[in-house]
Amino acid sequence: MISRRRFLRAAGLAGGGFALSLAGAAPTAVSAGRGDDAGPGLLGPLIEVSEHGAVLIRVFKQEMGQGAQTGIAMIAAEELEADWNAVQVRRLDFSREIEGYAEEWGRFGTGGSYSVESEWTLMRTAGASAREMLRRAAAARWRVDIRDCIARNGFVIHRPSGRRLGYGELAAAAARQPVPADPPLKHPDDYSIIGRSHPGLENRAIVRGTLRYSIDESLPDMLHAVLVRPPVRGSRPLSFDARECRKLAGIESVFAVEPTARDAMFDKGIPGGIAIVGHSTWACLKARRLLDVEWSPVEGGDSESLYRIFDELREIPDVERQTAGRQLAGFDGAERVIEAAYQNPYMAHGLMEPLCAIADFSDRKHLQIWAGTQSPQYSAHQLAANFAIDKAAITIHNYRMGGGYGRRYFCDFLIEAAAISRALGRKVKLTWTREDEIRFGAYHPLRRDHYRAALDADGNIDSLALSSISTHEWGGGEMTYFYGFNHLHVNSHHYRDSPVQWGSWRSVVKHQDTFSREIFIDEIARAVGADPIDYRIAQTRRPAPDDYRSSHNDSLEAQLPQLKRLQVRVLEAVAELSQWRRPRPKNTGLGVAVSAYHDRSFCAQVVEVECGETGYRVVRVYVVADCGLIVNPNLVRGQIESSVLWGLTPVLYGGIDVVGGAVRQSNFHDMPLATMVDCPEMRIELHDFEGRPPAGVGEFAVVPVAPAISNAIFSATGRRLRGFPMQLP
Amino acid sequence: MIQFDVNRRRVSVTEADGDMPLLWFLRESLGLTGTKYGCGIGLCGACTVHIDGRAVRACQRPVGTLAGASITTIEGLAGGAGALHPLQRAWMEVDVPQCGYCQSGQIMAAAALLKSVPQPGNGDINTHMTNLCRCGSYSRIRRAIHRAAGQLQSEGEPS
Ligand code: FES
Ligand code: FES
Repeated sequence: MISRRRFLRAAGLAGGGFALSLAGAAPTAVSAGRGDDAGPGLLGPLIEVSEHGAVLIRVFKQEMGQGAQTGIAMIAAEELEADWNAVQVRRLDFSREIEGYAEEWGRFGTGGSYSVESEWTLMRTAGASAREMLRRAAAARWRVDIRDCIARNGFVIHRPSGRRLGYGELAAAAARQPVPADPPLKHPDDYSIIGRSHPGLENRAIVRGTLRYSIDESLPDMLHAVLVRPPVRGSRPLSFDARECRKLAGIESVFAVEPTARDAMFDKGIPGGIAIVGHSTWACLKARRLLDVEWSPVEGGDSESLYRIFDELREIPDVERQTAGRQLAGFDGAERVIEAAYQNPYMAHGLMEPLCAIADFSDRKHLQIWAGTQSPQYSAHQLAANFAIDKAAITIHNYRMGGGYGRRYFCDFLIEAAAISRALGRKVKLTWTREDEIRFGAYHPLRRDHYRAALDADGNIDSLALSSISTHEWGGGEMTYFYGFNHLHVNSHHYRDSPVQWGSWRSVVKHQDTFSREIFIDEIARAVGADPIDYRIAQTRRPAPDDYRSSHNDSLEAQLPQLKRLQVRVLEAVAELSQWRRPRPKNTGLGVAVSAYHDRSFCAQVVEVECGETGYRVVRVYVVADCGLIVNPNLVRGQIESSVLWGLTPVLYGGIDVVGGAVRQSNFHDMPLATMVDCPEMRIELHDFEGRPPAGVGEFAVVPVAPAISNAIFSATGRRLRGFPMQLP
Repeated sequence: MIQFDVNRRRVSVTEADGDMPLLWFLRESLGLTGTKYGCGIGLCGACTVHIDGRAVRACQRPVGTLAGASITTIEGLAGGAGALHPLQRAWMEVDVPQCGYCQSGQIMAAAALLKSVPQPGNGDINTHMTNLCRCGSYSRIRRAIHRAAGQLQSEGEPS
């Protein structure tokens, strides 16, 4: 752990401002032989107060629409007692200086809905430290007792006399105050910024069209490029004819880019291809149509046949994930056994902003990247390894992302841009087309879950067995399962021969875990003639065996009572919100599902569908959420609305098909996304039932959507849909 | 030379570049990057601009077809520098943008809708607002349009 005293450093700014930075870090966080005395401003300041009182907050977490930067700025501003209207937020770039301060794979990467959670303590402490220093500066100026000086809304006020000084006037003096070792943090009852619905800090630039995403960036002397990748993984260009391309005005060069080796994340490697480089993206796109490439033939797999293969593999466990209770004892002579299988196709991200990166690797020693990435730090490590250069020679300039959803944690597009720039010795902007984005994705793994449950005479779950097979090792994940049971057995099989690259897709493995679990529990409830919500609540209240453990939550045992309580609370609340027991018209069905993302962000949803001759419509979605303390209610609601649409898209339109190793879909005509017409009415209720710290909100509401829809369709039609897309004949 | 107006300024392109989609002309020749590339095949609407007052997907219009046309992009929607169209204000107040990438196209589509249907109902919005938003901000887009429609009525529409 880094001690607070040493991790914040104050410095004066030219012109009388004041900056609080991360500095003088603990030994583990010092990189490349730099000591504690490496000088101020190593890392761009976290909080800067200008002599005019403007507050600049820099955050480690990247913005891709999940609102992390606004939320984190609110947290710092709260403790700082800043005037919210004076606050601006900035992205931090990745550079050698920052490397030492960001924990490996942690702080300087954005994913898993961890942003607010992980910055909660750092940013409150930073804000509080700056506030204390401003108070001390004011007390010294007035020669009064600091206990009479309060900070409010960008001012320090001397209570007895009513005198006040703005933060700008105090900034220079505050910079000379010692950084407090342990600044007092505010009581939540006193919050005036946290808990308010402040709109996104970059909204104005966005609505005026002036916000620059990396795809909009233009740098001096920059060339443009597109990359024509092999249609099937592993294929190589045998020959290519670029004569026609080169004749086009504005085309500079056409050349082959080597594929890169596999590594931990790119289990398929990065495919390489033929780069077309020119003076504008348009010129490259035009040239692309004229390029003729002969690719080496490679036999690739079909997604369709994988489900059959998976069914055959299910008796051959790769890993025993979890056992609890006496193994499967209940299946012999069980009163009743229920089983079902659930299928998850590959899914692509469909980022509205296609991937893009600018690289300057002209001297082959120093690499600068301009891109929207979720993983500046991880990417720098990958780039360094790939090109055998020192991490210290890499700088990554970050941009707001036109969608991330896990795709931009992967740095293939950065590596490609760097490779092209290095080959040319020029600064190059590589733009992916929509077709590239869909065909060369990092896909939500294909997975099949097979569930079995043995019930006792009262219809309770006695034994539960899950056999899960996925194209990624995270698939077939273990359950963190808050329903009661006596025996549990989970095995999983990692199918290593996927034809396409795996990826993290908004809500990742939870999406698949919850899909099968929440339909299966519904199937059991229906089979025993119970109400789906009542049954869930009753099963949640039943105990789990003493030896029930989780490998991704060390404290599961201790937390289980609270987790069960919260699961019951959100289920009860959603029953009320949706008027679950009110009779609905005959063609209308209600379905429920519940989940706890990372065992912290609870979400129960009731979906209302209307079924007709030609299909169904998701009319309404009732959402009850408990993700602890809410930093920004309207932002959280926005994430829930967004998540419902994200969950709805594969239900309506399905996933990605792979045929002979190539992705069949290519653009929005064959990979449709949910639209305005598909958008259901949403009723959202936010709770913090037990006063917990903030938990993630970017993904948690995705997971109940699909199972709740399946359950609703069943209640309207009696038909059980166990895969994607969900279609009624 | 082909000449047309972009945000009330005269621009010209050579005949040789006539096949260039307006999208790329705006983005790469004029540096007006508020108009976004999303699909290049007319399906996502991220590239929506106004051509002679009507919403058009710029990736589908070669500049060679635009002689004499008057084009408005998101950068020119509000008129004066720093000014905001009521839709832009509503978008900020309702906090519509998530990643924000689709939003200039959404606003341009909505602005054209309000010109032809000043008080749109949900049905009008469903029919006209076909732009994609991967972040799923649709319910807020709907709310912001209703809000701006109310304001447009009380303020009178800007030119
Ligand atoms: S880029 Fe023009 S409609 Fe998608
Ligand atoms: S706000 Fe992200 S695509 Fe619409």
